[in-house]
Amino acid sequence: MKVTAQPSADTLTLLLDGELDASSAIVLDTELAKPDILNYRKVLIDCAKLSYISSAGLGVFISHLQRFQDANVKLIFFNMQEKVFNVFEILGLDALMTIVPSVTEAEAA
Amino acid sequence: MALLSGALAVGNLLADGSGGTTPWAIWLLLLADLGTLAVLVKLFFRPSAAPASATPVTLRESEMLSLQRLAQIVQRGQTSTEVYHVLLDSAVATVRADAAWIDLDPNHTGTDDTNATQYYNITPAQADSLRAGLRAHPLVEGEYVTNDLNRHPSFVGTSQAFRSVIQLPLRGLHFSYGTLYLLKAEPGTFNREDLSILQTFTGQAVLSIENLELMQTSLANQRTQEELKIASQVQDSLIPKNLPTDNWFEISSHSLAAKEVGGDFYDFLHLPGRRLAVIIGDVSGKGVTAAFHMAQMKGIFHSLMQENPLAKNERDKFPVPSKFMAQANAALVHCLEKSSFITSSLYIIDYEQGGFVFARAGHCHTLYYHALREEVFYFDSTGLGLGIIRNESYEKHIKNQFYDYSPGDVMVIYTDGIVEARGGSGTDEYGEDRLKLRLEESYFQEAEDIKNFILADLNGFTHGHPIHDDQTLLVIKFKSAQPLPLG
Repeated sequence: MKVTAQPSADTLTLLLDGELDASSAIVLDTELAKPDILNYRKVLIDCAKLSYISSAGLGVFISHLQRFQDANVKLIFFNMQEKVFNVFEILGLDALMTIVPSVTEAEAA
Repeated sequence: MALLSGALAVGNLLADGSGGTTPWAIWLLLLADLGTLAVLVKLFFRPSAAPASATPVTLRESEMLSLQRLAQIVQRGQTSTEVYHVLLDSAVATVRADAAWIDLDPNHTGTDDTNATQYYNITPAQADSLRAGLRAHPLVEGEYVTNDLNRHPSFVGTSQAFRSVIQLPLRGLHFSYGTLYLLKAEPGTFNREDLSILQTFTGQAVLSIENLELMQTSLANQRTQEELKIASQVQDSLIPKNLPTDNWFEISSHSLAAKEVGGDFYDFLHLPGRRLAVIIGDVSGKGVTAAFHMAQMKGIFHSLMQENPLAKNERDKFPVPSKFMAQANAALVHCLEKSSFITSSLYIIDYEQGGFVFARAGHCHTLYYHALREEVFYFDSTGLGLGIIRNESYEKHIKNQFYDYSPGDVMVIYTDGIVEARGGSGTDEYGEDRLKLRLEESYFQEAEDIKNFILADLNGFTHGHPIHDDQTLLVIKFKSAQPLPLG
């Protein structure tokens, strides 16, 4: 999996490309664990090319959730494929995380 | 004695026949096994071809014994320190060295703790000075022979206690193990045969070290395998073997771990008042870590499902599923790593009321056949997995759902290892739709047959693909029969 970071003024967009499983989770974790990520107001996760997410992949987001909330950084997912959204929904994460249809809503959030 | 002269002759034959380049592999082969040697002696040895007067290169008895000692160390299960010790002893004796030492490579973590240098007849300080001088001008590939140390650039014009020096690396297939140094006081005392026999010794020593390490690695692996086997047996004992039975339901279960141990679990508990608690769960991740949490979850289930003596009425004596999940979540906060979570569903089925109540904590949706409506569907309920929110606000994210059942209804409870099992091109998943179709085709059968029908289809789908996640499948069928008399 490839993680591309696109910083702009107060927003960091992370593009996820490929399958997010136990092995690729480390790459994403490294990105989310960076201390200066908390300087952004919003972190947008572009899931357009995220084809699969395993429980280890979900674990990465879950482990950083509280830290982002404490620092008042909004974590917003968009462009999520239906299959991937189902995984978030079954686990109940859709009630806990902001998941919006497209970049327009993500930027407005 | 005949054998010994045979060995002498073979030594001659090989040394002469190869024009000075000694075929080490053949020597080692010969020396590794005296039986082989005897056979080869019979094949090659002709008394007339070995005149007693011609003995340019001979393999002496003591050298042979040294090589044998090196080879046998491995079989006797001794340590690498002993190998180095025998190597030093044999080398010194064979070339009649005045002093010697072996440096062991600190970069190679040997299986012994001893990486200490072994010295013979030389002080560490003397060795330090020689080592430093030789290293200052490294020559070909670490192997170096001089019969006059005073000509070495580092030692020109100095007075040296040892004039003849052999430096031989102990090089294996993957590692450099160290360096052997042999010294003589007089100049011009080492010859080509000395170097040859020493190369054989170091070759055999390295072989022995490598074999020892291989043996130790395989022993360690074997121990790990044994431990895992025990873990697997312990975990197996946590999975209920005797499924609850009564006239009013049938239960059939299946579980398969992707590795020796897994993170799936299920359990049952009879509650007073003809009620049955059924729990299923899936710990994120696989293997040993998941197995620990699985065991923990089983413990939480049994400790929370205890009768509360302070309860005001019969129905409050046991926690309702949502309460159970909130309490389990609170208990797990202290032991679950931040990136781990557990999904679970708890059902409390009540025969007298003809219904059940359940809470779904992020677990797979329950598949259900409704006999009166003749319809198969997935329960659509919300609920957050355990260990995701680590404070009291979790209670807001879990709720109970009540449902009345009718005789003939079928409930299929499973973990994601079933619906996410891979087949076809390797990226296709078995899926909820296919599972639903199978229940539509089999709901009228007994619970055991429904389970087998689904598993057969699943196995057909995943055929040839390794299972990559633990699989659990429970089928519960409600019956119209009267319950067995109480007591």
